Amino acid sequence: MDPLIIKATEYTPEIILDKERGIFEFKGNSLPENAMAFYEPVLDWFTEYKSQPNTQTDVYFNLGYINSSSSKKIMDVLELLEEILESGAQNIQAHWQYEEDDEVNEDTGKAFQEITSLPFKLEVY
Amino acid sequence: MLSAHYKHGYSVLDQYTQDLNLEYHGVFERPFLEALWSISAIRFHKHTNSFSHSKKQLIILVELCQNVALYSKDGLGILSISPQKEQNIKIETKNIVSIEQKEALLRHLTLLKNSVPVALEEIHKQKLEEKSSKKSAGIGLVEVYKYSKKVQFKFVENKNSCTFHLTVII
Repeated sequence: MDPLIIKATEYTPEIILDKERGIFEFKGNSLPENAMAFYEPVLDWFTEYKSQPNTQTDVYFNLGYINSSSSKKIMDVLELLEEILESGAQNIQAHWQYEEDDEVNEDTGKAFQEITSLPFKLEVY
Repeated sequence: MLSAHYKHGYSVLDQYTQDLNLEYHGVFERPFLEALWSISAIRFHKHTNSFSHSKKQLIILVELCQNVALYSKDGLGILSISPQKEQNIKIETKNIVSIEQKEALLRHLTLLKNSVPVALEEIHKQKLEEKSSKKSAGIGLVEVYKYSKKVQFKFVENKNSCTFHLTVII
């Protein structure tokens, strides 16, 4: 499966999804003009990954500013990961990373943690 | 009419780099919003000296501008930003919405206005989970209420549409 690599801009995150190397990362601001279009290849990639996932999948979200339309798309990513988890013996862990005094991303992470059935760690740095 | 007040966004931003007062009448197009974001990120942080506070201010600015850009007729609107006491800022937007949009906004805003913080958290989670074809399904306004010190809104009806005024202090 080909990796998906999206370079960061000031307004969109770097995204690395690499099954071979076991790297699943979102890093940077997520303020795209059109979140549906921006996250579409990400959702397509996870949909394909779902058919043959690694035995261990650690997904790291280290996001800065997130607009509300991006939050919806991140929720879609989490739902796809839930489907992988529910489909069998795969081990999935989501890591939500945020700065110590970042109350907004702490709140967002807590909301995702309460909604999702995934193992979901809040990690302060 | 909003369109009668159209100004070139970048000349307005030139002044905004010098102080925290901005008034923009025009199209909420992406290049303007990106320039506004870049300058606001610096200006808000200088104004508050608190990362957490300036982040809330920026997120609300993004959501308010996004609302105008996505839902206003022709993307036209008015934005003003002014400094307030205790490192707060006031952000005001005005834009034209249809009567149908007004009804939906009024229901959503009234619910948020009457919700205590714990209830706002629950609404936030419900909106995240909601299957909706809409781009953000009203999450932005939930965040506006969660992080603002004061929110005021009003609708001024015209013939077939109305002007939506939203004022936020944060």
